[in-house]
Amino acid sequence: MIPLLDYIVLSAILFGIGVYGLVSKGNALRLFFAIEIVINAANINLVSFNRYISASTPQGQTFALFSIAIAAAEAAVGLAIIIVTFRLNKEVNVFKLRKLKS
Amino acid sequence: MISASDIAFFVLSALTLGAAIYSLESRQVVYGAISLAFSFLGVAGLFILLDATFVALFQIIVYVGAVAVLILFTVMLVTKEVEREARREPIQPLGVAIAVIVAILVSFVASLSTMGSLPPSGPILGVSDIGNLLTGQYAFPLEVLGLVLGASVVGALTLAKIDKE
Repeated sequence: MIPLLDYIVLSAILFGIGVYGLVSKGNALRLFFAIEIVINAANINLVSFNRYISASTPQGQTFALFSIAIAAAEAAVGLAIIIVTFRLNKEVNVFKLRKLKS
Repeated sequence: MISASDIAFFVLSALTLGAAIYSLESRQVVYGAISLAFSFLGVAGLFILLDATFVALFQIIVYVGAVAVLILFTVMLVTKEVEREARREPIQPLGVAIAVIVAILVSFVASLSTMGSLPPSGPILGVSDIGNLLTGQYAFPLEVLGLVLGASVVGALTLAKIDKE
């Protein structure tokens, strides 16, 4: 059987990939991908801890369900913001969107 | 002795990690969006491996079904010309360093504790257990979640109506 540590390491690597995308990408869509990857890493942690530590109650799975639903709501609003930004500025690169700075 | 679940875990984690990296590093954003859907699928497989079939179903319906399609439509609406996006962005060493440090630190701390070698405990829970918990103890958060989802859809529609004067 797979030990819990494998799942934790997998989720840590996935989280690292998401952090890499967040700190090094300029395209707003890629930043959005990175956020989704980080949320998925967190969900793997929730479900695996639920399975290995307190498997008699499905609290962790329920929390993962809530997390997935909140992520769906976030996706709707985030993608709408990206579309509006593109329509107003013809640009989705966050390094070139600096209207507030000037 | 390598069991079938070990092979499944290896294949699924390779799919998840590889697709996640490709979704950030692909030449065109469209390929990245499709690759992200495959990464979500790999995570759903890991949920099945963890005996969380309901969460896996939810993951496939919400992420692979809804969010990935939403992202694909947004990519099609937003990408302006193929040529500009086609050149690959240079890989940032600072970003790679931060990611590697974060992953190694978390893995190291987890390996120090004794919980890492725990065997899976307890019975496999069915959908009815989650249903009981959702409609019993978490009934009020479920209602609030419905409100949040409705408000986000209304917010997205309001945002989409914003236009240049």
